[in-house]
Amino acid sequence: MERKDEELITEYLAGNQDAFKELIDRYTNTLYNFVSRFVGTLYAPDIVQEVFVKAWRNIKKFDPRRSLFKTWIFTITRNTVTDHLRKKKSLRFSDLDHIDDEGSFAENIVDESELPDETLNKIQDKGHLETLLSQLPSHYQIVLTLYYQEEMTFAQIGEALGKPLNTVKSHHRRALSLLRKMMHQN
Amino acid sequence: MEKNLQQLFQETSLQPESNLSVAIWQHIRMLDERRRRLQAFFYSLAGLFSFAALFPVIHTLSIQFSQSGLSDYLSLAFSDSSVITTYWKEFALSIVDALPMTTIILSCALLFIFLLSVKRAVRRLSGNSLTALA
Repeated sequence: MERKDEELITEYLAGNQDAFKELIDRYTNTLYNFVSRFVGTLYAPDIVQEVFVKAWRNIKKFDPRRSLFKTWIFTITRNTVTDHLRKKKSLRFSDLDHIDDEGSFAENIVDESELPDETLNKIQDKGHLETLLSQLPSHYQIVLTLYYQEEMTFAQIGEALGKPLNTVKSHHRRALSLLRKMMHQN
Repeated sequence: MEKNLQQLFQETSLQPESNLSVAIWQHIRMLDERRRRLQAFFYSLAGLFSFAALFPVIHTLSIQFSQSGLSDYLSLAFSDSSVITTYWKEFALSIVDALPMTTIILSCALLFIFLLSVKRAVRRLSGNSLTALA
């Protein structure tokens, strides 16, 4: 049976080095995929490495009672990517900080059937979805990636991004709505 | 719909080179090794300085002990213990007053720093646990 992340951290802090290696093995692909979407595949390996180094240096500060390791490491990843983009003077990722006032969740509720299966069939092509995703604002991409690819809950995404739950839900719905519009246009 | 989207996103997942996690692990080990050596050097230096400082401090302490008249108080304790039981409070205060307290505290502090530095330096030189330094 696969051990929980928090158990691995406890083992690591007790002196088992392999436990941290297992965490690296477990999250490298996930973080690489997430990071690549925002900085490209050229810088992604370095940023993922930086994330793990930060996690390793601060592992004693991680409190499993407050958050999951997955949420914690995504928070580090998000901050590292933001720093990287700021250094490169690209503000795509930091746009996240200015989008809280887009309206309340209730105001942004749209039809649940905004991406019906038949519409989805149009984007079964992997390349097509990637193209559509890359056209979405970065804060929408983040929410969709974390929700559908990493299977995180809205609450976990909110915690990782430092955003209220309703904002995350709103972004999710708006992102789907935008995807639908883009597909109709195509 | 949700499952379809999940499936689509899983399919579009970007994969790193197969050795990325190994490279990251090796990088962390290298950083750990570097930090361990640096800390071992720092603690060895602290241990060396505290050990060297102990000699003049202990020398000063022995001189101050001999000048303090502590031996007179001790001989009084053995020769006439009834005086001590009667005036024990005054006797204790006199002994405390006669002791070179500053030098004693300094010696103890140096000894503590020395032992702590040796312990930490040895741990960093001999141990290979990343967690000790994380």
